[in-house]
Amino acid sequence: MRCPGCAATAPDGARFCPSCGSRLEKRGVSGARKQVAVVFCDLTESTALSERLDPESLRTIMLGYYAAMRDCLESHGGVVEKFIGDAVMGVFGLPTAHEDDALRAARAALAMRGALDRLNDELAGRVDVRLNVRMGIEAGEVATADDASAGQALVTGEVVNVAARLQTQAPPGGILIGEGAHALTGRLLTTAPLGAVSVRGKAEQVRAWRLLGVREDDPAINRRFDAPFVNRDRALTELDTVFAAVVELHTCKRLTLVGEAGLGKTRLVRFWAESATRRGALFGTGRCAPYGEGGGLRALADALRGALGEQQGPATDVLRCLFANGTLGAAPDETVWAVATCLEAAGAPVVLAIDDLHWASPELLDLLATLEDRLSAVPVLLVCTARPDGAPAPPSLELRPLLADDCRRLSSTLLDTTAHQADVLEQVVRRCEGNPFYLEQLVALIGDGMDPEQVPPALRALLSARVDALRPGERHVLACASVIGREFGRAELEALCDGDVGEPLARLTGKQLVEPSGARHRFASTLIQQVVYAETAKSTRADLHERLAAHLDAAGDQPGTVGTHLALAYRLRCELARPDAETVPLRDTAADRLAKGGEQALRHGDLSRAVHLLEDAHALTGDGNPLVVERLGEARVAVGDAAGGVPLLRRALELGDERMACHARLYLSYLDGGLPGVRALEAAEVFEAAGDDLGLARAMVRIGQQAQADGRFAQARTALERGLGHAILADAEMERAMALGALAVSLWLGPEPASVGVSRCEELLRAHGRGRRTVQAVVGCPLAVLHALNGDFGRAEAALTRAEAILSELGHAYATAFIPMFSATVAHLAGRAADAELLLRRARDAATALADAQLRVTAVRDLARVLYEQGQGAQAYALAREGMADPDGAQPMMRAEFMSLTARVLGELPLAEEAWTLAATTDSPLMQARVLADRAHVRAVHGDAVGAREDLAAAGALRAGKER
Amino acid sequence: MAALDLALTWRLKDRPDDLGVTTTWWSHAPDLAGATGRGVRVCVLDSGIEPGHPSVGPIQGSYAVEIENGEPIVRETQAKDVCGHGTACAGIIRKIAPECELYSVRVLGPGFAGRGNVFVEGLRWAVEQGFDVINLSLSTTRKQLADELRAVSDDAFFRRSVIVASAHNLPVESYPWRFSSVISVGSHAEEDPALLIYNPRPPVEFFAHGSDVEVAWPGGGRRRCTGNSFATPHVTGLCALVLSGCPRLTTFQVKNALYMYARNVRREP
Repeated sequence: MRCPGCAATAPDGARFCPSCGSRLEKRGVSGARKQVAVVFCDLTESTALSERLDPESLRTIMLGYYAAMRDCLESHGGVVEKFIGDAVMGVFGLPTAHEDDALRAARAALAMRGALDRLNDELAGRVDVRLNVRMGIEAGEVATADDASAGQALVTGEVVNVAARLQTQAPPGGILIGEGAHALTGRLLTTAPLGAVSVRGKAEQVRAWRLLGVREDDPAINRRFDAPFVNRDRALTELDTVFAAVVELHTCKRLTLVGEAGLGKTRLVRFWAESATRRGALFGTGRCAPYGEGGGLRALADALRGALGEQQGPATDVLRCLFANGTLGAAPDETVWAVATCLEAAGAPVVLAIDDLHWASPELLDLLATLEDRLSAVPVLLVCTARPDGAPAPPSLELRPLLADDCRRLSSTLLDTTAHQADVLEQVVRRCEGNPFYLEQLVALIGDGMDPEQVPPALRALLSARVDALRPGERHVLACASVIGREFGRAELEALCDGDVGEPLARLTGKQLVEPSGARHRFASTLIQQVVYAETAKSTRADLHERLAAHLDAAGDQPGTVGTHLALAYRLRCELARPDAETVPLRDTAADRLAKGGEQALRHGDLSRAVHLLEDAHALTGDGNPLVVERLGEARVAVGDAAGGVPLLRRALELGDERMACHARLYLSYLDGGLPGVRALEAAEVFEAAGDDLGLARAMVRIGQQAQADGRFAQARTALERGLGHAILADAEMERAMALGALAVSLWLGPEPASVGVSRCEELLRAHGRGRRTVQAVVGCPLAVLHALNGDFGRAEAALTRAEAILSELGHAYATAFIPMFSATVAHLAGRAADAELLLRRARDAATALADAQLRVTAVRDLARVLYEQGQGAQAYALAREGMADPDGAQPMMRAEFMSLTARVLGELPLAEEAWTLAATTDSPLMQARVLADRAHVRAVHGDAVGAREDLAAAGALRAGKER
Repeated sequence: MAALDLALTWRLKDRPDDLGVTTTWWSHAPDLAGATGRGVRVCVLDSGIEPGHPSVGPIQGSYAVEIENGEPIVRETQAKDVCGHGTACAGIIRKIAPECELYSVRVLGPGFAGRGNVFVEGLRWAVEQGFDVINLSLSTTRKQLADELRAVSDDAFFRRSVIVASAHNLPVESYPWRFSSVISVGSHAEEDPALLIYNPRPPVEFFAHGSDVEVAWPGGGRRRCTGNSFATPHVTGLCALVLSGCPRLTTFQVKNALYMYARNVRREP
């Protein structure tokens, strides 16, 4: 497809041009992915049947068989997807998901077997055949139409094949269930494990179980009722209070506990009821079912039977129908009278618990209301539990999510034996949103060694049932929001939904699926967002990501964010089809935006984001984009991953892009040592020609640093000030900070008196430091030393502490080396040589870990000096030798000092002279003073007291000039 | 419902300086200078240890507790770490006691969790093998196992197998760190790997470096982790150093050596 705006090729199905962002065509959202359960049922020996029966008889029998199977599937909430020959395929979860689709499928399969038995009994008198079936059940994700309705949806997915294949492996009359369905039904089924079985068309074996039966519908089976009970005191007290009133006033009251599925409503009632029965109450429970056999009043009948047992008498006769099948069977008034009579006859307070009132039939709701009104003089407490959607009449008690600490305690007991690594449980606690059922499921997930960032299947079933219950418009809004993220703004959402979202958003908020978050909205939990996202067709997600990218781009959002969405769209498209000529431009645009975003983050010193974005870009284009390769190399080195970064920088030298090669060479030259100045001059020409301000800023900073290494501090300043100018033009925060940091170092080591240095540094901070924390830190460090030179150690320490706090907050890897280095200099000036030694050792180790040769040799130089002053001449000598041998120690500022110290330790006059000759070429009074002091020492050793005195005087004058 | 004793101490929130302990005890802090852990057999009961990790070095033996016919049984196995936790602990021990022998018994699964009976069997086996020090950076909350674990821990105490057991990260009851026959370890918040604090208010007896600890991680890498899991191997390493100097010490002597070594314990002048 070609874009009408810019004629660029747009990927098939794109709604916006990836090059210019103009709209290509308007299409509705279509297709969905759902978690469903599939039942496959096939007749055995059907060929023999057709041989033995007249076609007419066979047809009659087959029609009866199909009808019976269809009935069973539909009465459990399934749909018949198709009949294939003698096989029937039923699907649970379409068009609407239920939280118990896998369980429904298992129940339906058992019912189908029962129905077939009945059919065979009927046939037995007429023909001489028995029908027999095998069945297979599996649950998992399928693709389907967005508005899938019975018989129209084409359901595709591996789960369909697995269910069909399991069926072929089943013995006649047997039902096999696969791993997905088994995981969802858990302890609710009785099964016999078959281990791994091979199925045709699948490379890996699948685990299978033989379905034997369904256990009684007891909520305690599938939930961890063995876990400790945490923090429900308020609800328990409320139940106590109402119960006390019921007993005292001999009246009937109803209390409804309202809370999301999984919050522990049922368990709370059971737990409280234990204490009530100890106080003499009779207790019975019943559960409303979402579908199934039995009349609408069955829950009440079960509760009455549980509390009162089997009774005899006229009242019981009236209730016979109620107890037998859960239907009224008598006039409502008579039923109420009979219930009242039975309850009165009990002679004790009665607690009737009705679970899942949100599934109650209208008759049950009516009857409960009537009982509450009309029962007098009988102490009865009706405790109902319900979910918030459509929760019936008050008085109700809302059950709140658990607090994080409660979740921690709960999770620690749910896992039997655990390692004491703090972050493992934290992830679960964060994701469970205070819901104990979610917590159990997530804990089970990590217990199985799975990634706790996944959505456990049982949770997906629960949440997708919640989402499916929404209106299509609301679902669509939610799908669009899920593409934006956990948090989303209204403008973005409206851009994706093509219209006003105020109303659906308000309804979704009312249903607690989303919640306001400042001016924006957010999903009530990441789990909901993940489920909605997972259930949106990948092609739709890809479209939405692209549209969102176009919207964000137009709104001037960061290129990194735009690129992230484009990359997601590209990856989704690749998952659907092999990349082709149409998806390639999408990939390139995504990589381009990611690279821009990464560069921007790098320039602004947001290193971890830079690495993240550039990694994404690199994953898309590999070495095809030299800029990405080079910048990723830089970013990795900057976060301390030299091993990962340096190879990329080396590769950038060979990709044929001269400008990027210059960047890489410049960066490497610093790491490798060598002569950055020369390379920087060459690079500067390339950058000048390309108008690359960032490159020029870097080259100038390097040239300045080279001048510093040579001890030409006045010249360094000129280059650094130029570099600063280019850094400002390039909006490059890192380079700006580097230029400023280097300028401050020049002020410390160069010819200006310390007091001038202090005021210049403060000027720099005023001009550039506001809102720039890195600048404050890198100027703050040399400033600290300048304060110390002025004798103001209080301000020196304060400046260092602040710089350290900033850098560690920013996650700057180099802070581990240069903070101790500057701290050591200050400690040394303050006469705390032992502290300085410790700090320098730390600095040296950190520089080694960072593979930064320059920093390391600097630390070695200062450490040698500090050791010597503490009387450890041998060690100092060894380090000075090490420094002399180090190619990074060859530059004048280094070499002069190493030589000078060696001369002093050995008492070698020619070496001391040589050191001074080198030092004299520099304009660093502090270094010169040290070298002169060393020579004075050597001269004194050789008996030249006059020369020694002269040197000391000269050194003193230099120091005084700096420190005055 | 398990009663939760919120007074249980598992992490030192005070500054160590506030926990000064003065002793009139007549022994001395052990001199660990030059100790390397040589000759001491240390067993890490955990998720396994990755072989060939540069921060862990050689492993002398790898075992795993497997379920056979429903019963847990220890088998020699190929060295591997199923989640990374055991490698992290082993790396800390190796750093402190570079020449100790390391053995791995895998009792945890890939999700940093395992079954209580598997854990008990692994510990029982380790005690039977007579390892000098056994590192337990884990515990079980199953009350039913408490008696059995107590018996195994007491057995270890008299057999001179020093069990170093991590306290739970949360104020909950779990085992075996609660028993007096083991050396229990929590975390202090200082950044000092060499800092050991004796706790005058047990059940946790010692605090070691367990916050933001840089540890070895499978794949040859390193990462930063927090939890009593990582304080414990610091103490295990110290035990190995103590025992490499005096191989015949009993568990109570080792515990006393740690007590005297703890930085907050000062001899009365």
